Amino acid sequence: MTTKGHEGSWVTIDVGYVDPQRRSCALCGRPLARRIWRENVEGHMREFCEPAHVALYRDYWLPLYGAGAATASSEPRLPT
Amino acid sequence: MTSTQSNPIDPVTLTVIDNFLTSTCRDMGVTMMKTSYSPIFNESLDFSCVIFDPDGQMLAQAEFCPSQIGTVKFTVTWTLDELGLDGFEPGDVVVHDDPYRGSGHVPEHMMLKPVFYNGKIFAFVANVAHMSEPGAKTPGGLSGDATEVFQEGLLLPPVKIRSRGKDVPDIWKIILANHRTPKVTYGDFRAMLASLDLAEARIIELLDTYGEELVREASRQLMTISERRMRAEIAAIPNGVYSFEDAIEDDGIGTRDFPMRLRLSVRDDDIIADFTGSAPQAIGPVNAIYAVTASAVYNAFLHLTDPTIPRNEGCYRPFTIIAPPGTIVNCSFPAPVAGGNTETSPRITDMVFGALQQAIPDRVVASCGGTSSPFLFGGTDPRTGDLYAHFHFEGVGWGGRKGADGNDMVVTINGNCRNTPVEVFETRYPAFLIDSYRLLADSGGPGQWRGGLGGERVLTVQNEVTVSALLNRMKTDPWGVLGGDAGSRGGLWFRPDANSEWRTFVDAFGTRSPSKFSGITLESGNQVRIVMPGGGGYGSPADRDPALISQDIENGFVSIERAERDYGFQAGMGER
Repeated sequence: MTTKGHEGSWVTIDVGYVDPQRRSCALCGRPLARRIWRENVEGHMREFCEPAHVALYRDYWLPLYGAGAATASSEPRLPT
Repeated sequence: MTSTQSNPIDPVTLTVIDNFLTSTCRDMGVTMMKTSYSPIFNESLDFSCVIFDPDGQMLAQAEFCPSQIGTVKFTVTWTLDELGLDGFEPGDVVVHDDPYRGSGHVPEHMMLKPVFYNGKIFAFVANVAHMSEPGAKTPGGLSGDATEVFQEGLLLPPVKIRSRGKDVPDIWKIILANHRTPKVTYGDFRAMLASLDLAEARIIELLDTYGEELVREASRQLMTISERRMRAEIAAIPNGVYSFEDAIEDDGIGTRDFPMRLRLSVRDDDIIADFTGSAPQAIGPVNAIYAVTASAVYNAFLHLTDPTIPRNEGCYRPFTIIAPPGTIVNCSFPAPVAGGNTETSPRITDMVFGALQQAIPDRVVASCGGTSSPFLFGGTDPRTGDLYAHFHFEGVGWGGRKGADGNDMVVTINGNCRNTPVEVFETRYPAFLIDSYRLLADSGGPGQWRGGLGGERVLTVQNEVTVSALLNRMKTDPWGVLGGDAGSRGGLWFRPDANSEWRTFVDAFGTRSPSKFSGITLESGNQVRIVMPGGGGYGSPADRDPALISQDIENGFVSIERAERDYGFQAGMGER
């Protein structure tokens, strides 16, 4: 199944009890249960909790943290 | 009643339905309060009650525990996703307390019941509650030096505890066999079930009165209204990127701090709260799961925006929370998580206020004491021979805000709970007598609007008891905003008897942390002193009305020495 305006699709995985699948949204980090939105972004298949997060991944996350991003250090600093 | 789908429903009907749903949530809570066994239910009110639609959209909530109200969204949606709607039959109730499946932390159990109408699921009613005994490695759970979630209690993936209206004995047996206080768990679980039954009956009553289509459409429209109103509030905040950093002090295992970094983007009517760059997850139990971090951000914005916005799914739609897996704000299995919900959560909420202090200075508050001060204890009641366990928490000073000093000794911002009254505490548990319980002068951060006062409690052990702790703000300050100064830090001390010197638990028992440990046995006559932090101040102390300083001195909230030092106060300044 696809969603209008998106090239990915919903997939359903087994939650599993013997070997639980522990996956997270590529943008927000939210743990994913069974339904996963899968879409190719910049040549890589990514998993998201909802299609809307694909756009944010492209527009927000990649420019800040993606390869070649001119971002500040991601190392945390103590409060001053 | 005929269908009104797609047509705007009149405001009166919308309001009646919204109030009906909200008051149903309130009545669920009253049921739990009145029918439960444990003081954490019937005194502390550490629970929340909510209603969802079959798509996992929150239809209503009431004024319960903010950390639970945001988190339960994730618990419910995970449950519905994992089990599927086909997995429910009339009369079923699912119980769930696995943080790695969306619950807040192990002691908090969620129960969920489908409401069937005309043979189909119309809604789900749910409650989430902190059990006083979850079967952790030490009584009461929240073991301050746990290193795995397995040490924090019995994990329950979503399973049916009631099927088609009948108890599932095997599930009850497993749970009660793993809790130290099965009678209490049994009673509190029954209270949760009664609360769900009441809500189911109420919703059916609503559907009988207004019709299925109208209520469904009203719910949709109420969510749209909430989203529109929340977006309007966000749009009033200047666009920009606002940052703030704070740190959780030690994790009960090591002594280093765990910085958290927030990059808050306001983009027209959307918010992105990005925690990228926060510290890797801790070995000890100060980690927040994703749902807790998200809930803490929601909590901040629900404090900053119009409280009359209907509290449903629409409120939450404008927010995207980014929390990288494997960090202290979104830990990975099997990291321990107990303190994420009690300690890290209020700090995240405060970080949102800190980040927005330049953007909306009239609306933010300074840091609150930022700890739930969890102090757990348990043992054998010599009166009955039964085991007992209790999760005791304290209030803290809240931050000052424009136009008002901070609240004094109110349970921290993620809780909205009450503490256990002294009389109940002493009657229910044979462990302690409370020697003193008081506000602490000079603990509120100086400011134009002073931080709320922290407090102190001194307890004397009556019978051998095992204690654990998971407190914060003992090494780092509850910060002020906009020129306000920090509130005082908290503390936890021990002495063998009333005539000895106070010592830290590190000194007395060799714990790794002075505030996070578990399983310490205390004997009759020993004393414990818990000091709760104050709140940060708002605005420069130089701008405080001298009359208020004078009043603080008169009330014993601020000493003359500190008034002179912090405010430049001189005798006679406050006279009118």
